[in-house]
Amino acid sequence: MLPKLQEAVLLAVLRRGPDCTAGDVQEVLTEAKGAEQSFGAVFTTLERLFRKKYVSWRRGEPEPKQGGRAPRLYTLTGLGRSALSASLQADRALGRAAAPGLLPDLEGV
Amino acid sequence: MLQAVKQYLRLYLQRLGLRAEEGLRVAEEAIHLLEMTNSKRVKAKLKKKSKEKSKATAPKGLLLDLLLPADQAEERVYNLTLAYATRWLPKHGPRWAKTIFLVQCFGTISRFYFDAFLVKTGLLKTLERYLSSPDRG
Repeated sequence: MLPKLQEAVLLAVLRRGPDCTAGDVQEVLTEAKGAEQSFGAVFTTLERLFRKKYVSWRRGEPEPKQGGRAPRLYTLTGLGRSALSASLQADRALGRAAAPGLLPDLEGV
Repeated sequence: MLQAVKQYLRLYLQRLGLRAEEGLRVAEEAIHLLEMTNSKRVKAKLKKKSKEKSKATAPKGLLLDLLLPADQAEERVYNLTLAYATRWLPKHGPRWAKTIFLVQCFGTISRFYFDAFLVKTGLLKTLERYLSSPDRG
C-alpha cells in the first residue's frame, strides 16, 4: 500500500492527465478536500514519487517574458499506475473485510 | 454647526462654478477630513498607501530563490506565482493572497529541508514503511 498522500497525488496526476504541473496537482487536491493544500507537501511528494519512478517529468516551455521560468510537467508512469492500482485494491479489500456494510459502493468492485 | 459648514461650502463651490451634487460630495469629504483627528488621518493615509502598494507589486519568490537550489526554486516559484495570480488574487484580494503566498513559501522551504534531512538520515524509508502499513495507529 502507498502512503495516503502519495496515493492522493498519484490520483491527482492521473486525473489531470499527462504533462500536468505541481500547481495542477495542488489545485485538484484543494478542490477534493475543500481547503487550501500545502504546496510544500505536493512538491516533496512528487519528488519522492519521481525517485520511486512512479512519475516522470520533463521541462516545459518557459514563461514568455524576460527571466521566465519553466515548470516541470509530470506524467504517471506504468510503474506508478500499477502501484496505484495495487494500493487502491488493497484499500478496497481492507474496507470490505473490516466493514462490509459501511461502504456499499465498494461491493463488487 | 456641520449643516452650516455644509451650506457655506455648497454656496462657495457653486460660486466657483461646480455643480451642486459634486460640490456637496466635495463638502462632505472635507467635513469628514475635518472631523478626523490627526492620528486617524495619518492611519487612513498609511492604510491607503499600503493598499496601493500591495496592489502594485506581485510577489517574486525571492525567498525561494535565495534558500533553495536553482532548479528546485524555479519549479516552485513558477507554480506559486501562477497560483497567486490565477487563484488566490481573484479569490482573496492582494493582501490575503500575499499572506497565503508567504505561508506557502515558508512551508515549501521547510518541507524541502525536512525531506532532505529524512533522506540523509535514512528515516524516510522507515517513515514510509510505517505510513503504508495498514495496521498503523
